Amino acid sequence: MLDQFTFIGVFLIVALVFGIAPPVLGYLVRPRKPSPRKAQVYECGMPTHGKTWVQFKAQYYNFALAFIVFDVVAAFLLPWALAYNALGLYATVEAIAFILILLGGLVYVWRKGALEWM
Amino acid sequence: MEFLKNLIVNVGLWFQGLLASTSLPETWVLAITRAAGALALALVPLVTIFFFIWYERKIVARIGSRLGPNNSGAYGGPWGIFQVFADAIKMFTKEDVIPAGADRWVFNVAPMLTLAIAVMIWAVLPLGKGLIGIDLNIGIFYLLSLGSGSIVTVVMAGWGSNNKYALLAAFRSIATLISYEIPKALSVLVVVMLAGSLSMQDIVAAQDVAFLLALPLTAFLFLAATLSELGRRPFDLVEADSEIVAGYFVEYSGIKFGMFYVAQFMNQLAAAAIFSTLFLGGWRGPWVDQVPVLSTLWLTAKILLSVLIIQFFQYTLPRLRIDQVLAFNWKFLTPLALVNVCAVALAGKTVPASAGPLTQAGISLGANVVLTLIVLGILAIAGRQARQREASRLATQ
Repeated sequence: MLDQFTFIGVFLIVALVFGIAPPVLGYLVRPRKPSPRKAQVYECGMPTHGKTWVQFKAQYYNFALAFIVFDVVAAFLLPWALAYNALGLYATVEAIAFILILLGGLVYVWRKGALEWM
Repeated sequence: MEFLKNLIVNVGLWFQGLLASTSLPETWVLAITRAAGALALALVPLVTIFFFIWYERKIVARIGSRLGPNNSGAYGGPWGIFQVFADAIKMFTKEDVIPAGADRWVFNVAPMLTLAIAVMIWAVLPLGKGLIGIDLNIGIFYLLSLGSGSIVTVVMAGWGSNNKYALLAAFRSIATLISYEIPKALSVLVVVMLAGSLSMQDIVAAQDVAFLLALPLTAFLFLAATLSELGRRPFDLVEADSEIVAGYFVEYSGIKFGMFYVAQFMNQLAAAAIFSTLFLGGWRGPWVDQVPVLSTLWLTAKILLSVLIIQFFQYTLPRLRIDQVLAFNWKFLTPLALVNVCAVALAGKTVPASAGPLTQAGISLGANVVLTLIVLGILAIAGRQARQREASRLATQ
């Protein structure tokens, strides 16, 4: 188990090296002629109006909340799916009841109009 | 000849033997072998990606009645096969422009992490019989978690650029990316249920019948979610190159843009490999037991086929709006994926656990087909009602 994740650790280091290498290589060969004009933000040729890091639409938050619910659920269901072949009908029906409760939640969110893009 | 039959594994064993014959201690031999293996494995996507991008561009060109890269002066090579190398060299020599006021750390780290995560996927992909970086016992879960990791890099790129377009595009991307994680995770759940394991090699081993035949609806759900995660049409809001240019990485130039570009294709290659592994039987095929090196060729053929399918979706379907994309996921794919889990779970319990894999596959196929027919029926009724509402609305005007 630990041995397996040692390999993942080694692989992570290799992957990070592969991520860092191209900009470093590019740094050695590319030209550098900075100017304030060049560093301007690209926005249809217009100067940016106000701060960039503004508050954003609350709509995204709804989707994020719904996502967290279902993603956690998927993580909960994985052990059940793993043991599925060894489980009896009772455990299966229990898991299905769990999923149906969730579906109820989805229907509630839907009826509340949280899934509409406004 | 015996050496050639299992070429790739034997090269690894030969390398280990070579190290063992020196006077190095055993732990060092193991460590060096592991490190060399990791390096070789990480090189697989980075090298194949060049030819893969060429393959993709050729398909795109053919779909659009064009020739695609065929000759690029001194660099092109036959059929323009070295076009991508020429592009890479060009990107290395382009100036790196960081926009004024950008969050420089976040801005610079985002492409590195994107590429690193795209490489990390390959650690658990079974590339052939007995040929896998590490057969993690939670392999498929590891892949799902990496998928969530790549979402963070999208936020970093959008937030770090100091550009409102990039920021808004990042939010849009995240909204779609996280939404489509759910049907993806739930369709993986069904595969795990049938395979009884999270390990990638076990999932391959469980496919005496390819899961595409046992679970066609699940395969469709997975493919739809994958298309969205890759930012492919009809869900290509992440990029939408003809409208918002490049979305969250609009401010990147030179090699950093190239890294996002390469990471995208790498993710696509990996997604095709994951789809082949989960639904097409992975590296399994005829004569694999006699000549294990064939397994890698079978996998390659399946990957190229999956890419072809993804490409046909990408270049023949129009783009959806953001509200349509999200509605499609939350009002169609997610409930369907949840019901699909229930249907397959219930159907599997109608036969005794001692039944053979063929019976299991048949019963899952039955559940999938029945569910598909029901869904198509509901869609037909809902569509007719919507058309009638629209017609009566027009009539009253």
